[in-house]
Formats: sequence, C-alpha cells, structure tokens
Amino acid sequence: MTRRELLAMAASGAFAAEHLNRAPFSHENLTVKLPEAEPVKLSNGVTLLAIEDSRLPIALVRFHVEDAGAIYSPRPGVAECTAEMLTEGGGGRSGKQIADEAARLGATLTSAAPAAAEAAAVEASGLISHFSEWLDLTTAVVLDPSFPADEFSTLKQRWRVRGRLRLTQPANLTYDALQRLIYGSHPAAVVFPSAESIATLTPEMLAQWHRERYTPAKTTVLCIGRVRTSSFVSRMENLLGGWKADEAHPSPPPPPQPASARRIALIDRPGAAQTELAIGGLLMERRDPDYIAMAVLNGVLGGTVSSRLVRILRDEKGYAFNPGSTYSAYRFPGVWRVNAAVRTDATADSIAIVLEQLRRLCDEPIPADELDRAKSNAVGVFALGLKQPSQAINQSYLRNRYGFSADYWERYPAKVNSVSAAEIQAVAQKYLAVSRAQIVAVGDAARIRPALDKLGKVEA
Amino acid sequence: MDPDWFALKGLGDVLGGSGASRLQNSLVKTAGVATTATVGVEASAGPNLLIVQVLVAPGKDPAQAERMVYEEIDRVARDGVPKEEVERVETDYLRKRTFALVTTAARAQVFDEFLTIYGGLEAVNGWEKRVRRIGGDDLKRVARKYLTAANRTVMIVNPEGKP
Repeated sequence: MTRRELLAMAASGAFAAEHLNRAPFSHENLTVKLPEAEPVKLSNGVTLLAIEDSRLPIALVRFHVEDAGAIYSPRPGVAECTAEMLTEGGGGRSGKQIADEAARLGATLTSAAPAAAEAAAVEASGLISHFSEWLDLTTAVVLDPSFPADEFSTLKQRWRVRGRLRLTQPANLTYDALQRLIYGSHPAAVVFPSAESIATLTPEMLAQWHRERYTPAKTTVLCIGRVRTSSFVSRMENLLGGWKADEAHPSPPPPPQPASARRIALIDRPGAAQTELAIGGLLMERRDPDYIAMAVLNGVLGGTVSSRLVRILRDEKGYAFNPGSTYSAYRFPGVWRVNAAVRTDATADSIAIVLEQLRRLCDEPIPADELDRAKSNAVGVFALGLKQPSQAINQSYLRNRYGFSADYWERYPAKVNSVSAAEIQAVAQKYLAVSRAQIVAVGDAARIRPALDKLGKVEA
Repeated sequence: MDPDWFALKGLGDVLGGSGASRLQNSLVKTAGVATTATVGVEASAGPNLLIVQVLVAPGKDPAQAERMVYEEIDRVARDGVPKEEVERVETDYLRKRTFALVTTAARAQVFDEFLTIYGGLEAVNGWEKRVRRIGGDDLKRVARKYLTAANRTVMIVNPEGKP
C-alpha cells in the first residue's frame, strides 16, 4: 500500500476507526533461545555459570553468596555492613587502593546485601582489556576482606546520613511501614537497619559473619561478556580452588504468615500536598506455580502504562502522576504492592479506586482483550530484558537457584500465554483479598484521617 | 559542542567522577567532612554547568568542606594532573560509553544525544579519539579558565532551612 493510499484511508476514517488505540500483536508464542550457562562445580563446592557474549568488549562478574543476606543477619545491619565493607579493604589493599585499582583497570566494583536479600552479592563489570586483573581484584575482596576499623567508622557515619535522608522521602516511609505490616516478625520487615543498630556493631562481628557465611559451597559466580567460558573456569579454579571454609547450614527464618485482617497505618506529614499511599499483602514463593499468573495479573492491575490503576488514577482522574503496582517472590513469600502519590484532597477516592480494582480482580474474570495485552506486555518485557547481559546471566542464576528445568526460560513465553482469566482470578482471590490488604498512608493526617477511619482502625 | 567540553568532563571526573576521585579521597575518605562528594558536567548543545555536590557529614563544618573543594580545584589549576590519573579517567569514561551501547534502546539514546549535541552522527566514531587527546595540561587550562571564583555560584542547603 502506498503512502498516498494510506493517507486516503486515514482521511476516510476507516483507518482510524479500525486501528486507533489498537496496537497489533501476535498470539503466537515468542520463541526464545537463551545462551546456555551450564553450571560448573569446583571441587570445593563453588558453582560457576558463564555465558559468552561477544557483542561488546565488556564483561560482568557477580558473586552470589547464599545465606549471607540480610534476612539471615544475626542482628540488624551485620549482613548489610559486611557486604558493604568488602570493597573498603581487602587482599592487602586499602579501600582507596581498591577504588584506584578498579578505576585504573576500567572496572567498577560494588557489594551489597540489601533488605529482604537472602544472598550477599559482589559485582564487578568493566572492559575486557584488563579482565583478568579486575577479576583477581574482585576475588580478593570476596575472599580476604580486612574490615578496617577507620573505614567502618566512616561507613557508620554514612549510614546515619543515608538513614536520615531516606526518611525525608514519603515513598520510603510507606515502603518501610508496609513491609512491617506485611512481614511482622520476619526479618524482611526491616528495610533499613537503624543507625543505633549499626552503631553497636564492631569490625570483629563483621569478620566473624564473613568467616561463617562466605563459604565456597554457598557461592555462585556468574560471568557474561567477551570472555571464553573455558578460560573463565580455568581462572576461577586457580583463584578459588584453594578456598576452604567450614560450611554453615543455617535454617531460614520461619516463613511469614499471611495477615488475617486489614491493618491501616497513618504517618503524619502536616501540610503535605500529597498523600503517599501503599497498599499490599503477602504473596507466594518464587517456585509457586501461581507466580506466572501473578506476573500477568500485575500487568493488568498497575504494572504497565495501560493498566487499570494508571488509566484511572492518572489518565481519567488526574490524581497521581505515576501510580503502579509491583510484585516479588523469593525462597520465602514475596509481596504485592500498589503505590501512588495522590493529591491530598483525592486520598479517599484514590484508596476507594484501588480497593475497587482489587475487588474486581477477585470477583470478575479479566476480559479477553485486556488479558491478551497484559500477556503480550509480560512476554515483551521479558524478551527485551534479555538484551541486557546482566539480565541474561541472571536468568541462568535464577534457573540454577530455584532448580527450574533446563528449558524454563525457553518455555516462559508459552507459560505466560497459557494463563487463563480463571487462573488469574483464583490468584487474586488467594492473595489480593480487599479485606486483608494492608494500607499505609503518609500525608496530612488532619485532612486524610477521616477517610482512613472509615476503612477500619487506624494505627498512627 | 565547545572543544573544551571534553577537558571539562575529564576535570569533573578527576575531581568527583568515581570512588577513586580527588574529592572523594580528601573530603570523604581522609578528612571525613563529607559523606559524599560528586561532580557532574552537563552535556547539552547550549552552555553547560559543572556541578560539585557535597553532602556534609553530621557535625562537620560546611565552610571547611567548601574550602577543601577549592583546594582541590586550585591544586589542578596549579599542578595539572599526572598522566596516569588522566588515563584512569579516560578509561573510566570509555567504560561508561561502552556499557551505554549494550541495548538497542541505549544505542538509540546515544545516537539521539550525538545528533542533538554535535549535529551529526559522525562524531560517534570520532568521540574516543577526542577523549584520548586530552592531557593533564588541558585539565589545568580549563580549571584556570572556568573554575574561577568569579564564575562560581555556591548554594548551601541545611536541614533547618536557615542560611
């Protein structure tokens, strides 16, 4: 069809009537063939996963140390600080020398054990021109950290400032409060250990935690980039083969229990122009078959620009600029969460809209065209993500970590496309019941409390 | 894009572009007067700002932190920057650029940036050479030319909102 014909068609209205707001999409399953990352086990138990990706002269290496994450921390902050201190001194180098060397080698080096994490992670990425050197440096900080007292003192100071800064953001207040409501006594309830907790820690505590938890059998090393798998494995055998440590076998914390009733928390910000809302609840573990249906459900609820919450709260009502929903799942149950920063005078209506959309998901099957769009989006986002090397290797890591089948990711698009409206409705009824949704509001209490009082007892 | 932009970008990275930068070492790691110290250089077709941002540590004197920033700037203006430090910054810049080419969307953004700023795509391939051409004396020259007291605006924000 020529451009002239297209214009004529559009002018006649036929084109517009037929295609306006209707992006074409295929019902055929996307075929994905992921590069193989066959696990290699070293004799001491270290697992290696590597993918060759020669598109650019770069590489990424990540150490995951299971059971060294925040949810296993013997006291708040130990796991977090241990991970963060790895790059502040180790392998006979000071923190400054590590930073200088990484910069000279064209690499970045980060380490963290964030909230709700089961594993600590150390990641390095950089140009392959100095790959073996920055791989040596990364391995040295993982195996041989020195936890210098002066650097730890500086970290405590940074932690104090970071804590104060993050509490100036209403979104962080809602996040912290919602995690507490959902997780209760489970360690994932602690998002950011307090400065008081951190102040009681010593370098010796971190060193002990490192000795006990950073062990070969709990370590998986990922590599993706312009690096031959055989040479990576050989190098890691040299660097890690002699690593010996007593293996700990910690029990995970008792699983969090789903709420039996709704709780409502209100944090006062007198004079606030907006109310930061967070509504959520407990979900399933990552291996649960419900997870795939939840991925599609989230796209319908608030996970895409055409989702119900975005359409209503932003496009139709103009209450919020960036409402949305997210979900998570780990070896322990994750959470679903709706977030929206809404105009103060629209707080009551916004909460009602969110709860109404939760109710609809529980009570009504999703219409076919809406379901198709959500599936198409879930598959498309998955496929696009694979262009990112860190995500491609992460899929291999997740497959290995959760014991998924070898073709799990190849079959993922088909699994998403096979989810039915009835399955999503069942998942909504199981996890998103309005009566058990936890609600947090950060805003001007004098103006928004009456609306919250109507929903139940408010904890201020 | 003014040819000095590349040298200013290099200068910004020497001062506060990474954990190995001068402000990070002097203000954060050594003196402990700040919890972060970073430098950014805008990249647009119009006039650009070089922005030094320091988060002063609790109980520390903002004036001391400010003075230390000027000392580091003066050090570059007086002594220049050693070759290995310039090379380190260039390598880091090259790393960032390479990682920015990973996805299709990111590549499109790079092309868009070059079209907007340089008025053409030819500069994409010549960009590395321009970065590699920078020397320590270039950084010294632009520090003297642009990072002067008369050319500087300083803003201090404190939690109580008092000046």
